[in-house]
Amino acid sequence: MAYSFFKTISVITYCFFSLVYAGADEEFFLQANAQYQAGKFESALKLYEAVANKGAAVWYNMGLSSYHLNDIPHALLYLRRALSQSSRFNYWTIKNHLLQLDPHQLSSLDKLSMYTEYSSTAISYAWLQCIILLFWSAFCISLYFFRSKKRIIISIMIGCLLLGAFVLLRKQFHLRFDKIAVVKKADTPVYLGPNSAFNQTGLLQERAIVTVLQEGDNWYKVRYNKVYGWIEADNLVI
Amino acid sequence: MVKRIGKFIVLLPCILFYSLFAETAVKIHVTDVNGEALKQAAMGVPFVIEIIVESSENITNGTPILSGLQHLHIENQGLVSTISTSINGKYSNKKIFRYTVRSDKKGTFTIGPAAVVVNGKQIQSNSITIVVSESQQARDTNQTQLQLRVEPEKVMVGQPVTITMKFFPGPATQLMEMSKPELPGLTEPITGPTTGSENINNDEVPFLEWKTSWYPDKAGSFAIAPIRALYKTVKKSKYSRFVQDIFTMFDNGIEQKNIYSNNAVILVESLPAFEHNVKAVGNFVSLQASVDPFIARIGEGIVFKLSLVGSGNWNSIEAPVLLLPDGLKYYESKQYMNEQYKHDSMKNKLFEYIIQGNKEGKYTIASQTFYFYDTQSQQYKKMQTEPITITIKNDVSNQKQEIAAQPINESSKQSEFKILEYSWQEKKTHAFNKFIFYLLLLIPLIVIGVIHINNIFFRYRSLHAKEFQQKYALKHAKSELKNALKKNNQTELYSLFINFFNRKTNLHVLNETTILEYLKSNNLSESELAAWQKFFNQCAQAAFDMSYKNNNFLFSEAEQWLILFSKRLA
Repeated sequence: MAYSFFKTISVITYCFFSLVYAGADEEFFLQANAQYQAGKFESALKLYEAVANKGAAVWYNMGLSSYHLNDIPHALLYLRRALSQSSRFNYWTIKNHLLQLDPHQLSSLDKLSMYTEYSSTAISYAWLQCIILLFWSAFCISLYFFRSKKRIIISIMIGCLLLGAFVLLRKQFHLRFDKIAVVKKADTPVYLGPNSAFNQTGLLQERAIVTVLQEGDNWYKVRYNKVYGWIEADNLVI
Repeated sequence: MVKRIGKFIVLLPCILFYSLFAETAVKIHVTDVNGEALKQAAMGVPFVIEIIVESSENITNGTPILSGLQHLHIENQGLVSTISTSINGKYSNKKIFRYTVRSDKKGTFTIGPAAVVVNGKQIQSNSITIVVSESQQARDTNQTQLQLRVEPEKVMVGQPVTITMKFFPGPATQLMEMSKPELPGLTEPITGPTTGSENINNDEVPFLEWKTSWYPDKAGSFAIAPIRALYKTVKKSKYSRFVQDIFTMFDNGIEQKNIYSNNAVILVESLPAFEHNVKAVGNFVSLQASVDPFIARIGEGIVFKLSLVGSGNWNSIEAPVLLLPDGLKYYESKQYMNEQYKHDSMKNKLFEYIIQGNKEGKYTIASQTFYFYDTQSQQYKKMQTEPITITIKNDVSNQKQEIAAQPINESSKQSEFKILEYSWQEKKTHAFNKFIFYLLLLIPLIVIGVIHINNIFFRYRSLHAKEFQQKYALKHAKSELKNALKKNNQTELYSLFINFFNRKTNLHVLNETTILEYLKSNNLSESELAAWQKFFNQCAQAAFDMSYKNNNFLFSEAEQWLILFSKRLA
């Protein structure tokens, strides 16, 4: 009895404080929007930063504010974070603006990759995992229990669905969980190790969006297309 | 008295002769640049020849003629002082002529005599022999020294030569100025000074070190003249310390001195013959090409960059000529050292070009080749970039580039970029833990694996059913006995033994007789067979005779028989 009472009180307290917290966030968000509309981008940015649980809209609006303040590396970083919180309803809005600021043109392969990324936003990550489990079980069963032609046809069908689901999961994983950073200086060298004594593996241009793989002492291991290596922290916006 | 007069008579002509001869005198002194007497000079190090002309008459004629200078390089010459004195109506003139010379070859040189014409008379001086050696005297740990070192002394064209200048200060020495080594094409900055120490005669001698690199651009033998350092030091004095201190109060205890280093010779060999004109020499590790943007309109500039990383004669490396397909043209924009690149021994040079397309289409910029002479492997090597495809468009579809390139005024920006007003809260991502997810993926495989193994096992059992029956006959019998005992049902004992023999034997007909024969064939004694017959009859009675009364010992007998069978039956 005492346990149930305590549990109930805890749930009510949690809901109350969550609502209060959310209310404060919403207040900040609305005020920031008003500041943005008035052309006061710096104060808008500060108010957006004050929002504790930043969703796609907050990051996106922060990106726009930074863009108006001519801080392109930060604008790119915020827009990319907005993308990681995006849904299929706002994905293209964010992506289009991101592409406008990103100096690197898209190849046809990138376009395909972009469409799969968009498709992955339609289903949540957990659902994708469930779908994969389901397809995988079906694939195993069809391979084991069906015989001859039927097995081949059913296995290929389920296999394709499984592969598609895996691609979407992988895309969404990179979108949601990759830690990203933006290169802020032109001709930034990428080294083999976390020290300038190591050999150079490539050069990154300003505004290149890189995935952070590892953190070192004032150095970050990053990936950019096929280039892997370490970049000094001073050259990144993170 | 007579002796004294005699001595005077002898002395007087001598004095008269001397005074007549001493009327005009010419002397030669050789000193180092600091004024100290010198008998041995070092190759390339300047020294001073001083000609002193003294005469009681007016010396109007010009400079003395000094023979022996043809083998020396004159750096400076001229009259440096003229002193005229008149004591008791007697005039005395003194002129000092000074030649600063150096020898770039070693050997023994005779300087002089110096000839001066006074009143129509030619007067000659003495001659001096000076030895010019290859290097200066062995270094003394307490002596100020200047050292010039080149490494390596023999190089190929374009290969770097490290020039090191070391100044070893003596006690109470302060360096004021140092000259730079003179070499054609020496443009690299001199780095230093760095401090260090060198072990000389088991004594750690501190030094200041400067370094620079020289990239020769033509073959030949190049000599670096000795460099000069000007320093302050305490005067060597014969006076006591107390007196020295007093002199020092009037700034008289300090003197400025010049010191010269040794000279150095670098032998530069020309590069081996090669089909291409190669100017890059060194150790280059990567060549990368990049373009920005990949898509442009006709006439719009695309920045093409070649990034070269390594160590070598950067100043001599010219921007490589680009190989472009028809429809594209380029011009060199700039080339610069990448300051962002940080490496102890390597540098990064970027060659920037502007490429323009004059026709619509997709173009592949072929691999750009860079040849260089590798100083490590001592052979020519080449590096190539990856081909890059660019697109030249005729329309205005490259919206991205326009936005990036054109400044946008604030009002247009605001109207273009509308803020989002929904989805402002963080979207929580629910997901299975990675480990659990992979474990769940394994479950279908495990289930199918278990089913498959079970099937295999059953298939095996069905194939070897008789063998299994024989093997487990006793086990089954014991189990049935246990059940019968539990139920206290002696009627089951008959079927138990029938089943047992059915499993154990290959008999087609199973009855009391065939069982007995089977047991006989398994070497059971007559008494045992008789006992078995009696027991089996009792089991049959218990099973089929309704009037049979339970025998309490039948179960234990059955157990004993099973034990016996387990030992005796094959």
